[in-house]
Amino acid sequence: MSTATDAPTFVPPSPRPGLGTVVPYEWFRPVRIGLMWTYLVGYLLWLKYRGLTVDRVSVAIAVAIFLVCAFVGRTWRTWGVLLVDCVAYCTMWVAYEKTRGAADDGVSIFGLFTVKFPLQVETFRNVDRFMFFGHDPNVVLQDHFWERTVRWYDVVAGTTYMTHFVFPMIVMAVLWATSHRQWVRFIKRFATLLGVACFLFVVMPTVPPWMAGDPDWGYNLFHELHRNAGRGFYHIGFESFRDGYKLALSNGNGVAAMPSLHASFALIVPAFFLPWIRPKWLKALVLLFPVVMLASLVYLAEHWVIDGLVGWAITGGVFWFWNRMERRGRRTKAHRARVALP
Amino acid sequence: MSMDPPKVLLEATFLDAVTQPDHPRHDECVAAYRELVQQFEDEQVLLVAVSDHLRAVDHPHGLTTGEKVKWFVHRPRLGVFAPVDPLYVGGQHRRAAAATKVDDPTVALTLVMCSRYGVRRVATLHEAYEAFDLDLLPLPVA
Repeated sequence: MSTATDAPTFVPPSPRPGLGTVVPYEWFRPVRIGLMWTYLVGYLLWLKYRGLTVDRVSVAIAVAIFLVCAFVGRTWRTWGVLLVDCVAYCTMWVAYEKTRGAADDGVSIFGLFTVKFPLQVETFRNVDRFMFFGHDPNVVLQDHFWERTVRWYDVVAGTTYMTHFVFPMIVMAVLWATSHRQWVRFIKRFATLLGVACFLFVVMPTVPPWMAGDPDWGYNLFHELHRNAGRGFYHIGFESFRDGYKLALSNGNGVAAMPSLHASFALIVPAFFLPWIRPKWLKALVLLFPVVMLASLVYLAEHWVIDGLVGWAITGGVFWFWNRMERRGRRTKAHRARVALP
Repeated sequence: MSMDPPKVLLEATFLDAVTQPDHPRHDECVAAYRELVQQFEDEQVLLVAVSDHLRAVDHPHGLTTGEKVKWFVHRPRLGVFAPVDPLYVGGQHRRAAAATKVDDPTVALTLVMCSRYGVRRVATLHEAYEAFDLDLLPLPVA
C-alpha cells in the first residue's frame, strides 16, 4: 500500500523576500497619501461651498498646496527641482497673461514705436459661413436651443466650458506628484501651445461671435447673441471663485479668439493620455470631450468654429513637434553611447 | 501602475564591467548594454543608475567643485552612459541604507534606491541581489 511518504513530493521554492524585508519602511509615504486625500476632500468642500477656483492666482495657490502635500518627506534636491519647476510654471502664466494684453494695445518696439495688428472682424466669420454653407453656426445654435430657462444641454455646455480653468492644471499637479518625466513632457507641449496661441493673439486679434453681434460694439454682423457661458454650471449649484488679487495679473483680452485655448486645452489632456488608454471605445469617448467643448463654445457664442479647429491643429502640431524632438533626443543619447562603447 | 516605461537599474558592478575592457565579463556586459540602449531608443525601458555609482564611473579621478555643482544640477549627457538617468541619493537614502541589515553598503544603497524609485529590473554581476525579489537581467554570451 502506497503511502503519501512514498510519493515524490514537489517542494515549491521559497519565495524570495521582497525589498520591504530589508529596506526600512518610508513613513512619509502614508503621510503624503493621507495629505493628498485630505486635500482632495478640502478641494471638494471648497468647490461646494465657495465655488470653482478660476482666477490664475487662486489656481496657482491651490496647486502649490497640493504639491506641498505630495512632496512632504522627499529629498532636498527634489524640492529644489520642484522650486525651479514652479518658477518656470509661474513665468509661463505671467508671460501668457501679459502677452495677451498686447493684442489690444499693440506691441511696443523698444519704446520707439508701436505695432498694432488689424482687428479681424469678418474674416473668420466668413470662414465659418463657407464651411457651413452660408450659415452662422453660433446664430443657428442659439436660435434653435437657447431658452429663457436652463436646459440640460446648458448644464453640459456650461460645465464643459468651466473645466478649462482647472482641468489642465489638475493634470499638471497630478503628473508633478507622480512622474516628473511625464510632467516635463506635458509642460513642454502645454507651454509651446500657449506660446503659439499668444503669438496669434497678438498678430491676429479676432472679434469673437458675442462681440460681433453686440450692438454696444457696433459690428452688427448678426443679431445680438446671449453671452452667459457659466449659467448651466451655476444652475446645478456651483459658483466660480475668483479672488480680487491686486496683482493685476490678468490683462483680459476680449479679442483673443483665434485660436481657441478652450478647444486646445480640451484636446491636449486626452491626447496626452491616449497612448495609455487601451480600449478603443474609451479612446473614442475621451476624444469626444474636445468635440463637446467646441460645440459648447460655438453655442455659447465664445468662439467661431474655425478658432477651435485651428486650436486643435496647433495642438496636433505641438505633439508632432515634441514627439519628434524627444525621439531625436533618445536617438542622440543612444548614438553617443554606441560611439563610446569599445 | 506607472506611466513611464519600466526602469532598468545598472548596478555598480555592471557599470564597472562595461567601462573596463580588462574585466573578465566585459564582453557579456557590453553586449547586454547594447541591447538595453536599443530598448531605450525604442522607449521600451528607462535606464537608471544610483548617482554615486554613475558619478564614480563618469569621473573616476574625482570631481572639481564646478563639476560637482554641474553634475548635481544636471548630469552631462555624454559618453557611454549618456542614456542613463541618475537616481540622486539624498541623506534620507543613506540613513535608510545604514539601517538595513545588508553588510555591503553599495548593495544596501542600491536596494534602498530600488525600493524608493520602484525599480524591479537590475543589471548586475553581484550575486547578493539574487536573494531578493528583483528581476535580474540575464547576460547574453558575447
